[in-house]
Amino acid sequence: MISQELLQLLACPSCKGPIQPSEDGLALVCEAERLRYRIDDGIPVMLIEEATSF
Amino acid sequence: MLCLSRLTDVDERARGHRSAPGGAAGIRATFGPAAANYSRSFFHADPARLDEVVELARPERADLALDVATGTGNTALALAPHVAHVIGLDLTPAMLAECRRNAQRVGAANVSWVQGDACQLPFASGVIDLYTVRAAPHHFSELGGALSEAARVLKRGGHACFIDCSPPEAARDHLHQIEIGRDPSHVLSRTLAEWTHLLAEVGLQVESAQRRELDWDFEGWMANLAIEPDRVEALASKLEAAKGQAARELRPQRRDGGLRHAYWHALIRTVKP
Repeated sequence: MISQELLQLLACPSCKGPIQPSEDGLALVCEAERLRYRIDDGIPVMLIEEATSF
Repeated sequence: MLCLSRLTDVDERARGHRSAPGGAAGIRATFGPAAANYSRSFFHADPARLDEVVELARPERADLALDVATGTGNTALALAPHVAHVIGLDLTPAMLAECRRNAQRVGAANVSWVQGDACQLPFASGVIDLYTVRAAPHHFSELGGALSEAARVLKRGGHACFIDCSPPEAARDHLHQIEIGRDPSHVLSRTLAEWTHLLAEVGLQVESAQRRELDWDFEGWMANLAIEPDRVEALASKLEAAKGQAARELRPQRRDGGLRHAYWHALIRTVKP
């Protein structure tokens, strides 16, 4: 679970725009770039090369 | 992909120096298996060296701090008691797993861990009060890109503090192949003059910059990365073969049952105007 405080600070490493939790809560999503950053064991993996497109 | 933006002369030089596969994969290959060593490293976990970070960073109670390339979280956890919240960022999952264990061990509740790249920080602009990075920029293939990102995420009036290996030039040039022989993800140690040049390029104002010399434990340094004994001996011989100015700076000598020599770090405090 990512805290609300951390969510407000995190940004997409590609476009630096806002990200939000995915519906299933397993990832953080950048709508602008259509990239999904997974959360591994509570740690967001904010790497462009490991993001998946949707 | 590691930061491809903002090439500088020094970064070009780093590219020229790079002789081994680097980048994120190289860093993970080097530091994944070595993660636990860094929780008890003679340098990284030494309380005197951690006090030095706090003294340089001068954290304030309300600060949101970001420790980049946090490794096993030594610096982040040293800052945690002094600030509102710390985020530790690292490329290597094994390091972040160690961070979490270390945070639990010391009972730090105001820390968060994020996997990310120093050159593509996953943070909004102008949100961080205090940025730190320690003993990691010598791995960055394009330090200028990482410094641009530091400047971007800082609030105006926020501080960025850098501690990294920074020998004088002759010693740096002699140590370079030894560093790479020990750690293939090493790219380049920058001299203090190179650091201040790069910081000016990204608009961070230097408040203080000093080069601090330590009496260095060569074998302890090798042990952080579990270097096999034959290679330790070969690298020790290379170090002891230093001539001229490099030898005068490094002053290698066998004593206390091991090889000792001088080693240096840059301690730099900057502000975003």
